[in-house]
Amino acid sequence: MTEATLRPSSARSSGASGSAVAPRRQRRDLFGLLYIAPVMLVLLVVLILPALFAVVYSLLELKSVRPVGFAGLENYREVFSNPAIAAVLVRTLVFAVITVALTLAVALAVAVFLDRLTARRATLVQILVILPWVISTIVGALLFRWFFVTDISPGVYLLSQLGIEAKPLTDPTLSMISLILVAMWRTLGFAVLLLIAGLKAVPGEFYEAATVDGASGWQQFRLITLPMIKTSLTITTVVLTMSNLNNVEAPLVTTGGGPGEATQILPLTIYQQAFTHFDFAGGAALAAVALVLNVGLVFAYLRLAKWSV
Amino acid sequence: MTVRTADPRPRGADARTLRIVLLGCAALVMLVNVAPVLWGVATSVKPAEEIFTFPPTLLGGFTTEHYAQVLDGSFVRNLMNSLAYAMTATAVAVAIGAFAAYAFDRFRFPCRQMLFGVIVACVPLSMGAAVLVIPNYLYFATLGLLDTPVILPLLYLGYNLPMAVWILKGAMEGIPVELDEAATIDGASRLRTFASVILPLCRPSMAAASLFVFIGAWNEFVAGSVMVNSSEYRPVQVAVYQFISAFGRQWGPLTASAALALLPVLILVTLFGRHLVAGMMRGAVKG
Repeated sequence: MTEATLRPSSARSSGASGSAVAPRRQRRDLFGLLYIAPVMLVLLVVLILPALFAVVYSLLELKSVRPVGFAGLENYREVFSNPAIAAVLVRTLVFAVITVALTLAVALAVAVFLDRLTARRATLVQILVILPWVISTIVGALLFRWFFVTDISPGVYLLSQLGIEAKPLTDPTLSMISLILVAMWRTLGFAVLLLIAGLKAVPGEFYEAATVDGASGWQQFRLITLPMIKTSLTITTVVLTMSNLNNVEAPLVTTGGGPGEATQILPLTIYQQAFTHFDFAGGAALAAVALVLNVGLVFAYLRLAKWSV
Repeated sequence: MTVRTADPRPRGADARTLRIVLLGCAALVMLVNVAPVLWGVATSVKPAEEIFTFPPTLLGGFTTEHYAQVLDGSFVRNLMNSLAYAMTATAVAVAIGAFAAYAFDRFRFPCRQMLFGVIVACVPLSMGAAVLVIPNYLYFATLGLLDTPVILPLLYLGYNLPMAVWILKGAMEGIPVELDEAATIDGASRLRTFASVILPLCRPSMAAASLFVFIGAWNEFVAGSVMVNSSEYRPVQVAVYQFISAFGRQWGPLTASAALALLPVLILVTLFGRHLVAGMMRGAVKG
């Protein structure tokens, strides 16, 4: 069997799925529009219009949920005159950068290991790896908190046995660390899967040739694996950033934003501004700022993901 | 997934160290992944007084009182709501998603490239619930759709549809066009070709897409917590969250509700997890 048949369209990132199929003889007709109409309609109502309206609403004067006039940039001025918001933005950035960097590093190590398992064993292990990702963030963060964070949790007990007395929920630094660990726990398995998909696309011959030439394992990883999975790494970074910048549930359940404001990050602030303080105008202004970040990431994703029709 | 022609394992002492480090790393990840779930389930059947012993104990008495306490109230109703929402979203997503995937893969029509780009862009966009939920809330309020039984299935459908279309489109790329042509020659209509030739061949991907939509809908919290108010329409994740404030530090009922909310997802992943993994590995991505 040739390499091509051994490697079915397992990885879109290999670019094989597009070229493996002979040029398509597509029928030219407008019925296609009819077939896609229901999907496009739902996406318009649920995702696309709200994305546009996020900006519109932030410019309106809102009385409860009703627009009563044009506010210009007044909502923005009001929200950003609050010094706590600047702190939230900085904190969000720190949280996102650390979480994404750590998740990538650990995920890469796990992915390289799993990539070497035989197919049967790999599937079982992969299911265990993505377990926290299929669990809802509410339940996951709750269980994580109960196991690692609360004062009577096994995690804190383990630390105390090591001579470290920790009360994560009352210490600002420790509660931020807890939040980062929850966020990592939640997205790690998913990052592992994406990276494995990238690793599968690296031709085995490369390693064979490198071994013949006497390259060490570390050299092979640095000079073959890393450059070959650069796109996978970038797209994983984009998705992880997106996921963490929009996560309301993890801070809500793990720390509630506290102690004080120590773990108050942007998505939680937006959510609370609108639905706890019922300040929809301020919430919309913050949401519009977050939307700009999201749209930037969406375009990065669109450029990186291998898609074509 | 893939059979390699050559064993890519590096050899030598250096490689052995690397392998041990990787093995340790993976083992730790597995442990950290699974331990909180098992601990939570263990807590949910422990008598209340044992839960608060420190250092924590693993084995002890057994009780179902926490489950009884959780199930006594609207929680069952909330579980059923989520089941209905998730099943509705899944059925509709796979049905309309399959049509769209088929059209994108087989037909040529104006703006095809651009429209598929919109779908791909919606995959990450749908992760931004915290951002989208405010404008969504404001205009659904205007439309009078808040606190109705249709709002959540509609949103859950929209959040997960882009991914479902992408997974299904990926599957259809792998089906030779010659099959369509043969069916046409045999006199099958386009719809017939789709229903009896293409769809049966996409079964694994339809399973992956279904699982993805179901889990996404079952797990959603942000929209569920604001779009509906009455317990009659409340989804399960919101019910679990409300227990956190209602029960405070009573971890027995809390972990019992968490275990119940986990059950359907665990069953599905045990039965069909390999489809989900395979579907995701084909390159379709979302966090």
